[in-house]
Amino acid sequence: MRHFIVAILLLILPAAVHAEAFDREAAVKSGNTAYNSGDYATALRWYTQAIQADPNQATTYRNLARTYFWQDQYAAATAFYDHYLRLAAADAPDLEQVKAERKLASTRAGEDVWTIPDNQRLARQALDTELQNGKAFSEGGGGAWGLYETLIRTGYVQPDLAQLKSTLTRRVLDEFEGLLQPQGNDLVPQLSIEAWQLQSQRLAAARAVVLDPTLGAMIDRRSTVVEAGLALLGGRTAKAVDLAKLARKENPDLKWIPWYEIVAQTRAGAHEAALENLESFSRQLRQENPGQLPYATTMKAIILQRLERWDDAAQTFEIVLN
Amino acid sequence: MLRFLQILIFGWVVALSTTSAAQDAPSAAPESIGSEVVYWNISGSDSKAVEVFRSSIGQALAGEAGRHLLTEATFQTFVRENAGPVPGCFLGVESCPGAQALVFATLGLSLAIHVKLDTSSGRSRAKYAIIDARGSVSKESSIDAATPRDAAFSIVREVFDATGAAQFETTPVAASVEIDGQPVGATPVLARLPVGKHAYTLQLPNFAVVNGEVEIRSGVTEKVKHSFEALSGQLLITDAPPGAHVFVNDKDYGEVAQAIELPPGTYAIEIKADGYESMRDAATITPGVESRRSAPLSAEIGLFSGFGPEAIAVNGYIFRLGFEHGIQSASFQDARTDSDIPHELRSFTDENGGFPAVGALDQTIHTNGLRVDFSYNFRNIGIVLLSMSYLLGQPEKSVAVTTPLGQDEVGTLVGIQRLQLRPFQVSYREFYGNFVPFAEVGMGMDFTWLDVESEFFNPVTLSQSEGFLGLGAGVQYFMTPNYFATVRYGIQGYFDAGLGVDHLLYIGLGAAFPNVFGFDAEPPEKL
Repeated sequence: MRHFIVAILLLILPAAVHAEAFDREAAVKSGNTAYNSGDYATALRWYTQAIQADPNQATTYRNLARTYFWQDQYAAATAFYDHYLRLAAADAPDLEQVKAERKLASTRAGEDVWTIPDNQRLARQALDTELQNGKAFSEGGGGAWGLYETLIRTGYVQPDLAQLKSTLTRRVLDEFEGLLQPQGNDLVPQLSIEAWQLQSQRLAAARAVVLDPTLGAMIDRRSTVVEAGLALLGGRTAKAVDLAKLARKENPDLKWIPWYEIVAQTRAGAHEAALENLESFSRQLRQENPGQLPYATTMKAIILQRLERWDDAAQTFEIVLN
Repeated sequence: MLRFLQILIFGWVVALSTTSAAQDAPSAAPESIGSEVVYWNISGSDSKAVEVFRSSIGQALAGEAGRHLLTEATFQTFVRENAGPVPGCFLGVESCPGAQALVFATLGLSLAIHVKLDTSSGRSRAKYAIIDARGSVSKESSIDAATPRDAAFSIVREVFDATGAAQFETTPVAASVEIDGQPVGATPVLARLPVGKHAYTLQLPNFAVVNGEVEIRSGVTEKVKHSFEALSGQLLITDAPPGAHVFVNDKDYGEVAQAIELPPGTYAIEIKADGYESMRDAATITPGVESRRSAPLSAEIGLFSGFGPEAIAVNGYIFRLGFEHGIQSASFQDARTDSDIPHELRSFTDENGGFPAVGALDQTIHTNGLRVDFSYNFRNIGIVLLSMSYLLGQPEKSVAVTTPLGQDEVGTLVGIQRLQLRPFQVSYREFYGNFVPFAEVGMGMDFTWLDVESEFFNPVTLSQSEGFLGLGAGVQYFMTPNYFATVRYGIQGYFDAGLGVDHLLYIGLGAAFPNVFGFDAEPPEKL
């Protein structure tokens, strides 16, 4: 049963990386349907959503430009045709057609030049400032992430959104990773269940903006750690064992994960397995982090208490006390 | 034994005298040590002397032997009876003290005393170290006594005169406690400490950090109690226009420049500013956290905005249809029937049926009808492709008509029909938001048919055509870039004075289209 759960998790988590692509494709499809029926206002909303999901796709800018064109917003159409022409491949088959459309839109726009609306410009400035000096993600969905959501709500669809998403992803992940490192004597990161929930929200935020598949894969790996943390602190001990095992496998760079697995096994009543795991982990600590060996000894004594091996437990505690 | 009793009495008196001393922290209150458990580790090369020493310690502490773990057996029993949960340190819910401190916290130990007994010189020399709850050596010393028993009693006296304890209790519990910068565990926690003043810090997420000082007195447990108060949070609105006000649950908190202190919770917020669309949002206030909301409000859409003039200007082809009312002061002199010997309008008559011998009288004629215009417009200049009006009137005016017999007979002008064509017109327009005032100038042709009835001849229709020069001005209001309403005033002066001057009032609707003939490469209609 446990193997089955682990297999399901392994199948589900990577799928999240592709959700963004799916969102974009679905939005483009809906946008095209609305466009073909002449509902350009609806098409514009779908194309906006598609660009916000993946700002690197040239054709979405072209489609957006066309919806502006048919709504007689020629200056905006010209601006978005320009985005397409900058992003499209040099051998794109519709380059000449789009150039002609752009010329017509530009002619009709006359002296009217489209500029980023004030609310978008101000939201963008606020986000830049927060990315430079503030928090990436704070409680209540604030920080740069909150400002990014505000920017998205304004309908911001510029190609530099890709760079913005990339920077925001890195900043959110930096904050996430910073909290994932044990401090001082700590064996594991000091995070309450609320803090793990915030970490989970951070990962969800990063997943919502990530464009780099490598970072996407990392987010999925780290998700197992967050799930393990939430399960362990949430008292779902059996699940915590599976998740900690999966997290340990997926995140070999996080040297503290075995503590989670051992503690989860202990709390789940799998004392023999925990003891065996602890012995193996102690050998690893002896090589890599001998300063934590007394903690491993303490944990061993605690497990021995649960096995009602009182003499062994007392002797093991005394090793640390003496 | 007597000495031991003296020690106990002395300690009791000291305890009584010190408990009345005031503490710096108002919530700190002393109580007698009664519950801390002390782990003893006694070693030495002479096992017999060690056993005597251990036994003597037990006797010295006879009244409280249960909490002194002097032997392996008592320690094993203690371990059996104190199997608690996995320490929060392993879960990351509290910081990890040193490994020894962790064991202290796990088992509920307060103190460990390590004694090394040396009897090689014929006297009993006991080196001892006291490890407190932080896992730190709080005291190291040695006792030189004649016998192991004397050494045991001396240690008891020294140790329990040299330390006290602090009991930390908080509401809510689980606050981390640091003493002199070292973590000792989470509340409720009992820490044995050396005599003297110690700084402590209590921390609980989302609550204000508490710093304080506790004075530890020998043999006394100081009780430190604290009730945490939840921190308020702050709401800061950024990027709002100057003068914008923030409303929290419909209460005006003033201008947005300052952060607003709010108790934790979720609030409905609204940011309002004159001339801008207000923004509604929900904000969750978290203790100790400044929640920011960006409110770059959009300008309100009014009569003068919504889409730019360029959106109007690109729709070059303009079709206009409306109602036109003509007010014309004319004589219609020379209007005639279409025959070889025509009836010819001589003049309007005065109230007595007379008319001048030379020239003709004018009358004001009102006509109503439809006017249609179709033009192509550049941004400001426009060229009329088609403009025509068809107007009707029933003037019921008395006229004199020269009949084919050459006689001037009186009749009544009962009907008038007018068709006006204006093939040569140019216009100029300006844009003020959605309002587009314009002026037009041009020439045209007027065709007029007059129906005259008389008792002296059969009803006749007289006709007249004449060129005119027209001037007009009006304004269009665009509801969308494609549709508008318009009013116009025009004046037409006829080249022949017989038709006089025509004042035209017009109200109508129009539509504007780009590229109606499909000359340009437009985007595909299907993707």
